Amino acid sequence: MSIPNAPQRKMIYSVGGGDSPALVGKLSEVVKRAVGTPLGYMINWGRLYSLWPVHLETGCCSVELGASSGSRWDMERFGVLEAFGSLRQCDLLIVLGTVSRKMMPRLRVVWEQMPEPKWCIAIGACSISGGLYLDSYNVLQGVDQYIPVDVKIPGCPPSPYTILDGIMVLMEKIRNSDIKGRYHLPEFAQAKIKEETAK
Amino acid sequence: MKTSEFLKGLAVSVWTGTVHLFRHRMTSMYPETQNYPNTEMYAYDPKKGVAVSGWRGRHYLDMSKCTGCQLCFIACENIAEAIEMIPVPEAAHAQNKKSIYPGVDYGRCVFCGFCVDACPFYALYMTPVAEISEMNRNDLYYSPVELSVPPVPNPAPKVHVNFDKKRGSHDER
Repeated sequence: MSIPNAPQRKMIYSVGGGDSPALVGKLSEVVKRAVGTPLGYMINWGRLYSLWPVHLETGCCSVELGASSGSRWDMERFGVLEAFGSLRQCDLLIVLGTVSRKMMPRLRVVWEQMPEPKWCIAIGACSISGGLYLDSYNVLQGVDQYIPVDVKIPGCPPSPYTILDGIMVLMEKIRNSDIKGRYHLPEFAQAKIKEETAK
Repeated sequence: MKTSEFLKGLAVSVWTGTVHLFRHRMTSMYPETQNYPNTEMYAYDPKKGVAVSGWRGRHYLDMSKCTGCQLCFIACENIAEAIEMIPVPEAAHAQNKKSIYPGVDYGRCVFCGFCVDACPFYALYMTPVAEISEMNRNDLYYSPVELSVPPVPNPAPKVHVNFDKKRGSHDER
């Protein structure tokens, strides 16, 4: 139970906030800009062009991903390798096809084994929203309710052009994220959202 | 294995490598060039009963022709339930008295083109725009106003595709 007339406690140690002491706020900002930004840029540059994917192939979308990693639409131009190696060294999970109720624990196990930072792509209508199995008793209506999905690539199945475009969207996301892999909206998008909320 | 067989295999592999140095490149350099037929839209002529072949990508809705008859909605109801009729009161067209227009959820759409076949008023087309992947699920819902924006042609240079029986399709250089 709160006391009615007690003064509201201010966030004294909040970094960079309006109420924070000037010295602490400025120092943290200076350190962020001097060290954090260029270091994050370098690390993200390394992450961008060497994505090691895990394929969870349960449907026909895997055929299109095989086509896009072949020699015609070479996916290795963007740094996305073919599927090999163990899960514990990979940083990109590609979910292809229907994920049923019985498949979900396995998908979760695969996701938990991968080290941070990690990203996830959902390819095809089935993995985005359940797709044609909209009244099914055991097909899940979208994997983004269970694991965080970064990029959704629509299509049934999507063409290699769409897959390559989705990979470029993911690269844009990694480019705008910080050292820990958290995504921040670019400034023009933030300004746009502010304008829309003001209306 | 005999040493002669080993040397023969070595020579063959080196020869194929050197031959491939002077051949045409198979890879389509996708973002820099485009090689798919991106001018034609998938359309259906209900009077003739003939469909015009084209790339099936994002829809294009002609709002000045749509009457809100819900035939595309009925066609999609039995397939993917991607189309939903959305009221747009701002758009005042005489032929659409209820002012409802189809909006498409691309998370569910399977790009079968049956909604285009069902439209009897030449209002719905499918454009060759395939670049519709998004970060958020909500961005995949396209409102009628977003669908009525005509597709922007890709400025990348077009490349003719050669179909070779032996090596498959490859770009012309």
